[in-house]
Amino acid sequence: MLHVEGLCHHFGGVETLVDLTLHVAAGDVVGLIGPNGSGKTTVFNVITGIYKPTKGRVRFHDQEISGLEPHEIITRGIARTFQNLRIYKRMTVFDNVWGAQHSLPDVSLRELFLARPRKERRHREEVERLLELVGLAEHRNMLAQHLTLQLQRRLELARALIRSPKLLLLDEPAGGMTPIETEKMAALIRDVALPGRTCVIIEHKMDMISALCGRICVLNFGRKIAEGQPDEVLKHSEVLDAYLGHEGRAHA
Amino acid sequence: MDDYVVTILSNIGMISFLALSAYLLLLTGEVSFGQQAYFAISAYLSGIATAMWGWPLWSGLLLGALAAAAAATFVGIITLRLRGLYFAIATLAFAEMVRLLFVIFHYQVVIDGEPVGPDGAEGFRDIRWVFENNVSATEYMVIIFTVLVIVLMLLFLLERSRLGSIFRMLGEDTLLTDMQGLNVIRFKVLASGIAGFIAGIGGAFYAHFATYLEPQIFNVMLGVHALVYGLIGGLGTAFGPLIGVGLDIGFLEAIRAVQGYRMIVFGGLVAILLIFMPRGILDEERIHWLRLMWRRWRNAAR
Repeated sequence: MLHVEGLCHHFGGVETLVDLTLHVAAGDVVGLIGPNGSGKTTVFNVITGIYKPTKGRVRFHDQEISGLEPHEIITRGIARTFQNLRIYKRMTVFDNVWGAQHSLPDVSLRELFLARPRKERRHREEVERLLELVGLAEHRNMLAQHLTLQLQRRLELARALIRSPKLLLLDEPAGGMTPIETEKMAALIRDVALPGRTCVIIEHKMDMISALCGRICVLNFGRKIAEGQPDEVLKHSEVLDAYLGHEGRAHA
Repeated sequence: MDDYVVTILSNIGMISFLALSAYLLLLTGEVSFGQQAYFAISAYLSGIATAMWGWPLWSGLLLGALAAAAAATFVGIITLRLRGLYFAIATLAFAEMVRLLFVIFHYQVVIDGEPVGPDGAEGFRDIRWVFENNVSATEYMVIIFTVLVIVLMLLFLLERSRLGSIFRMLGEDTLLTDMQGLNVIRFKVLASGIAGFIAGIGGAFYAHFATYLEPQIFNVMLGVHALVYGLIGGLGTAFGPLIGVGLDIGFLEAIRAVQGYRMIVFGGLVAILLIFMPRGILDEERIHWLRLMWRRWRNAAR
């Protein structure tokens, strides 16, 4: 479904991605891990068109999407969340999620200004149902900036899901959360986000990655250094070096 | 009503259009120092239409506003790829260009033995439709406010619609809005066009109220004021800019004691307000709170 082929990207002289190849089949849940600055988020940014690759290409559903404008890529059925949390702070929780519906193919140009009441009600009910699922229903009328970090991450997840994307890119969905909150988030992703969907997850929390992902891809300095099943990959010597360094490994 | 009050109220009404125009762009996160250009384009064009071509006021107003919208759309297309400060500078440059064009713009015809029409820096005299049609100052004021209320109602509808939501999303986070599958540039150009139209309505009313236009009126200060009205009144609702206009023209103009010092007092007021209320008196949070209160009160009343 998603094919990243020979992808290169650099900021000036700094190579952020070097010849990265990654194939994700429909229904796969792939974990993308690596130390800070290894290029994980850059992969998402190139897939979603925020950065243009300097070499290589990205194909989605057998069509090349690298080079398209971000909004064109998104409307083909990709949704993402952000590591550093991007929400519409001055809008309500409900409006944050409702806002992600505006570009759905069944919202016509005319309906952007004049809603068709019945369709609009159906769309709004979908938002309510999703808010219920992610546990934000009672906060629906709050301004998003007043939510706790945990709930803001849930809001981002809901906003990504409302468009029923075929491919979901989650960038540290449990970033900054306590162990208990992380567990809840993992359960939420497993039960609500993953069924019937293809997903790539960036995360540092290995328990979560091992629990959710069938396959892991490890990046270091923009290169893929390992790929495979979670338990195998985590024993891989290069992976341990990348995370812990030689000395750390000796202690471990 | 005495003439002085009618004049002030009419001024408030006309400048409100300009303030709403700047407000709409502020919603989408763009600061424009050039809304006075669309005000000017429409003022001149509608004046030409009524005084020289003999059109009725409504047709002239519509023509002026449409031309202003077209100009704003065009400017939007070429400048909205620029971000933040660069867009602000580009709008300022465009507005000055328009003003200087009117300084060298001569187009006159002879009506009843008198030349009528824009005469460059000498200005454009005798836009007399209001007098020739025996519309009194009070009646004209009522016309201005009727149209203002219609525009306001349309803006409230807009703010409840998906399009209004898109404008606010753009104002908060452009990249994130791109990531919701929305063509950011296209919607900003649309906002610019609508803003141009609204400014144009104000310009057309102004031309027929003043009966005399000169390019100097449409200088940067007019645009800066329009911008500031939204910023101090609040960006949470279309009422915000109206509060700003009321504060400046209504309140300060009415207190004769500060006359002559008006700009100084107003400047100080703006500075203080923006320190304590960076998004104005009626900002998003206060509007949100008011909405919750209103809902609670309505539910309790049931």
